[in-house]
Amino acid sequence: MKKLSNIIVLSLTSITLALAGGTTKLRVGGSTTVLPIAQLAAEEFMNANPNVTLSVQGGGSGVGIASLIDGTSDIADASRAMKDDEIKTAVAKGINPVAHVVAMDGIAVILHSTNKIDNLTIDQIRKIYTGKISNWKEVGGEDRKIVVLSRDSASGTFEAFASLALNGEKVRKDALMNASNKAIATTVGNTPAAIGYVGLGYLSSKIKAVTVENITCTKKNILTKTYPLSRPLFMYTNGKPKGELKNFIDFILSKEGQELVETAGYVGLK
Amino acid sequence: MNKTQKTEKRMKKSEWKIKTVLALFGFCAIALHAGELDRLVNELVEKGVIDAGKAQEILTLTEEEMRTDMNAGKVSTLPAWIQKMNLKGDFRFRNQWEAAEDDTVSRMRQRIRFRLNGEAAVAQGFKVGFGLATGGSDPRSTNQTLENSFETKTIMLDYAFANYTFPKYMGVMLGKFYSNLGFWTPTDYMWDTDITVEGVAAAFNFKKLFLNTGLYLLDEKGLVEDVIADNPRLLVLQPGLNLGQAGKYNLKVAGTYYRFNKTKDLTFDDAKWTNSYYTVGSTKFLTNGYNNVSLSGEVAVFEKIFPYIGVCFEMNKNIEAESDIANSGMASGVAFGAEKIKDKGQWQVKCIYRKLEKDAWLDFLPDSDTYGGKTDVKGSEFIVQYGLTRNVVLGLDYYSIENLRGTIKPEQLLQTDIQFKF
Repeated sequence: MKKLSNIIVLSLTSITLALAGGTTKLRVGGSTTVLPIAQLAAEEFMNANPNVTLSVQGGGSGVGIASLIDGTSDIADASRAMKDDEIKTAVAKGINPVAHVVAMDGIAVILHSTNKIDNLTIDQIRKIYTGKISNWKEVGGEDRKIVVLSRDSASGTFEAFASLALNGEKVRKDALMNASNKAIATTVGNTPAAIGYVGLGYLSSKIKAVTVENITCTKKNILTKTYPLSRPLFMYTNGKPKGELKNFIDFILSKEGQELVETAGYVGLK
Repeated sequence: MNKTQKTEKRMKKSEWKIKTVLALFGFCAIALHAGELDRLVNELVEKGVIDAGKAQEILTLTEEEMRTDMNAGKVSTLPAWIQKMNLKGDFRFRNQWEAAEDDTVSRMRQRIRFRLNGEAAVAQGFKVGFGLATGGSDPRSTNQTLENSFETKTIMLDYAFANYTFPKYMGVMLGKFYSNLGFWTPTDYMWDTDITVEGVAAAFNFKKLFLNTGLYLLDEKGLVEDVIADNPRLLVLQPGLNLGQAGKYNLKVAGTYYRFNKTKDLTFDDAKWTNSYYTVGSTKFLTNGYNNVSLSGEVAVFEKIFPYIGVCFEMNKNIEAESDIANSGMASGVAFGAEKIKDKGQWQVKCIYRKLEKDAWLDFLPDSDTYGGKTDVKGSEFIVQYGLTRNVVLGLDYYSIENLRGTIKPEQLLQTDIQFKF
C-alpha cells in the first residue's frame, strides 16, 4: 500500500514538474511601426518570464491582422484600426478581434535637413502626394523637382497617412514605394529634394520633420490629437487575452511597458 | 509600496472614478453619442481625474469596440428590417442631340433616369432583389423625357427576383432580372443593357469554367392546355472559360446557344419590324425563326500603359434563317483608362464597332440607341467618361450608324450625361 502511494506521489510530482517546466510560445506579428515597441517589450517580458517565448515579426499591419484571422498569430500589431471587412472576415472565421491601444504615434512628414520648407498644410501634402504639385517652388521652396517617397500599400502607416492626409486619393504613380520606415528615413536623409513620412520613432538629426498646419509633431500634440497626423497604435488579440497573453498586454500597458514605448520613440499613454 | 505601484494604484483608482461617472450618467460608454463621450472625457482630463493618454485610450477603444460589435452583428442602431436591406441607385440627367434617319431636322431633348435598387437577405443563401425605375413600358429604356408642361412621371417595376447562391459553385435566379445576371455579353449589340429578362436562370462554376443556363419567357399567348407548346420562350446555354490573374490580366470567352421554341409566324410587342415579315390584314408576322449561335471574348490587361486596357469581340449567326444572306452580326471594341469610373479624375475611353444584319437577331433586343434599336445596321460608338468626384460621372456617348441596305440614311446621336450614384 505504501509502495502504491509512493508511486502515485512520484507520478503527480513528475506531472507537476513537467507542467511547471513547460514553455508558453506567443506569436506577435504585423506593423513595422509597432515592431520596435513589440521587440523591446518582448525582450523585457521574456527576461522577467523565462517560461514564455515571444516570437516577434513585422510584415505590415494587413499581414499581421490576416495572421490573427488565420490563427497563425496570437497578437496582431497594427498602426491602423482594423477595417470593417477585416472584422467581418474575422468574425466569420470565429475570431473575435479585441483592440488594445498600446501607444500613440504621429506620422512625421520629413524632408532633407537642407530643405528650407518648415511647414506644409494638409492640402499641400495631399497635392504633393497625389501629383498635383511636383516642384518645391510651388510651396515656397527652391526650383527643384520633388522626389516623393511613400510606404507600400501593405503598411498601416500608408493606410493611416492616406486616410489622414490624402482624403483617400491615390498616391502618385512616380512615388518611390518603400517597405519600411527606416528605408524612407535613410533615403530622405540622403536625397535633398525628397519628401517622406515616418512614424515618430524614426526621426533623427539627419532628417527634418516639418510642422503640419503649423502644429509641431510633439508628444502633447499627438496625445491630444491636435497634431493632424496623429494615430493610435494597436495590438489585437482574439478575444480578451488570458494567461501569459494577458500578462504581456498588461505589461505593455503598465508604467514600465509605457516607458519602453517612449524608448522606442513613440508616445506613451501614461 | 514603491513609486511604480503607487502610480498604478492611482491609475486604477482613476479608472474606477471614470466608471462611476459613466454609471452616474446612467448609460454605458458604448451607447454614448460620440460627441457626448468626447466632452465627458475631456472634462475628466481638465479636472485631473484622468490624463490625456487615458482619455485617448478610452475614446479609441470605445470606438473600436463599438465598430467591432456592429460588424460582428452584435449591436446595431438600425431597425432589423433595414439591416436586412441594401439600397442603392442612381440618377442621370441627359442631353440628347440626334439627327435620326427618319427625321428631316435634328432633334434635341433632355431626359432623366432614376433607379432605386434594393436587395433583402431572406435566409442563408437566399435573397430577393427589386428595382424601380423611370420610363414607360419600353423594355429597352428607363429614360424619361422632360416634356408635357411639368407632368409627373411614372415609376415602373424594372425588375424583381429571388436568388439562391450555393457558395462558389452555383446560383439560381427566378423572376425578372437584368440579362447580364443570366448570361454574359461583352457588348450591347444583341442585348440592350436595360433589358430585364423574365424566367429562370442557373449558373454553374467549376474552377475556371462556367456554364450559364436559362429559360426565358417572351410572351403569353397560349390556351392553358397549350401553354407548353404555344408560349414563345428562349433557352440559353452558355459554356465559357474565365482565366486571369488579379491585377494583371483577365481572359473570358464563351459560346452561346440561343434557342427560341418559336418566333416564326409570331408578332411581338416592341418589334421594330426591320426583321423580315409578312402581313395579314394589318398585322405583321415574322418570316423567320431566330435560333442563334454566338461567340464572345474579352481580354483585359491591367497596369500596362493604362490602369486598364480591354479588347472585346462578339459574333452571332442566325442558324434558323431561311436565307444565307443577312443572317449574321458582329461587334468589336476597345476600351482604356480606368476599368470602372468610381472616383474623381478617373476616365475611360471606349470605342465599339458593330454590324447587325437584317435577320441576324430579333429587332426588339439590340441596344435601342443604335439606330433606334433596329437590325440591318452598322456603325461605331465612341464613349468618354470622366469622374468629376466620387460617384459623379460625366459622360459623352456618340453614335454614328447607318443602315446596310437600300438608300443609305446615316444617323448621328450625341448623349451628354451626368450621373450620380448613391
